Amino acid sequence: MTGNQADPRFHRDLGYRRATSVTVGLAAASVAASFVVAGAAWAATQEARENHASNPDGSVPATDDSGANPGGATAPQGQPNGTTSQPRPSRNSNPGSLWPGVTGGGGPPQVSSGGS
Amino acid sequence: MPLVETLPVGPDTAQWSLWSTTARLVVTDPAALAAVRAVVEAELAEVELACSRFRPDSEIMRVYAGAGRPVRVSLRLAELIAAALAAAERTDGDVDPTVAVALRGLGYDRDFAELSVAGAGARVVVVPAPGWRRVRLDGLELTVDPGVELDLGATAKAWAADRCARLATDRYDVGVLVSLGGDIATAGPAPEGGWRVLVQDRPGDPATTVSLPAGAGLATSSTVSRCWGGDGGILHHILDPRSGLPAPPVWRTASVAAPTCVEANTLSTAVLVRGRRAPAWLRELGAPARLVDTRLAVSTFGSWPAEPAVPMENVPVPVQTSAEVTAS
Repeated sequence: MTGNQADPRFHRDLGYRRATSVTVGLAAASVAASFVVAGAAWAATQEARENHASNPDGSVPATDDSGANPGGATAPQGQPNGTTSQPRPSRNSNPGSLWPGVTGGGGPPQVSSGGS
Repeated sequence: MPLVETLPVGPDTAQWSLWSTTARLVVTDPAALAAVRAVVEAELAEVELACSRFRPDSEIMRVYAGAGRPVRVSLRLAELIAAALAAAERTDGDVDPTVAVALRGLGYDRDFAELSVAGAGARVVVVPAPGWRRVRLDGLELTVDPGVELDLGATAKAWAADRCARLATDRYDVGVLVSLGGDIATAGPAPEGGWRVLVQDRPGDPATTVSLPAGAGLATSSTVSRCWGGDGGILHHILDPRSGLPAPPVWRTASVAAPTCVEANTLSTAVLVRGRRAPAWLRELGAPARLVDTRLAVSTFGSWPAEPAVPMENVPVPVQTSAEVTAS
């Protein structure tokens, strides 16, 4: 951790309330993580990602520099009534691997990936 | 020509033009789409203001005014730089952010939409990249040696996609897919069966649809997209930093899936620079990847599903590229 990261003003000045994300972000600067390590980190955090929830107190996390929702947008509270297809976690189809499992797509594509 | 998105736009999807390509946003709850888009657009505007090499008011331009002295930068720019330097180290310098002067010398000196493939014949100047070790980041103190300029294009889009997806799902607790020109990040829960991605470079190229699990990234790099005219032929934007020239087109297209879009983009870009050395590298890493060579033959790696061979009669003549460009 750098001196800046240890300094509480570092987080406050930039409006980041989730110190862990800042730490993780700047940890990249150390360039210590190999792809293998990154893959392992992904595997370790996959469960957490899938079980992601808002802040424990129910508040909306503010993670941008301004601390305000752009455009005054407000967070939706729960799923709207009448939703017929609740999103379900798609677990890694390559368990035990350091990389995400890629499988044949079932159904119409939602997005394209081509040379950008 | 950058990615042309032809898929339909449903109630769970938003799409708009951005950075001479297409931004596409898909959410698992259509009710959250407008709010999520607002978050994404605001973040993308901040990323552009931090690191655009085409905006005189961008933060990175102010760093150059430091003339080699440390400059305190925003956290956002620091993270963008960190991602670029990490990509450079992980690839032994194959993906190097100090290629801005080299790109400008080849004629990529303005927003891509203003360049012309028909401009072949314009004089180009070949300048090897000075190297990423001439950029140093210590916390928020950024030092860029005099004369060194940065092009974060290889990683900034991917970083922005990762960041936007994470921000959106943190704030609205929905599954989110953010695609910036085909560099894809996902966060939160995925739809049943995963996020479905059509992987195809140019129209007529081999195509496949794959599913990504929640929280994965996918990126595609190409030697036939973002091309423009220069003397000696058509140039593309994936440079070999050591030569300052577009990478020889061993591979037409490289797609890689990884834990983050930044990692996926780092690999897909490096594959094009590494050329024939890339398959052994991918096998060593075990990364799921799909390479298309100049004759449209597809090779897959890791968990990426195999594809049937393309009949030879469907293989077009390879596109002329910049291999013939000579240093001046």
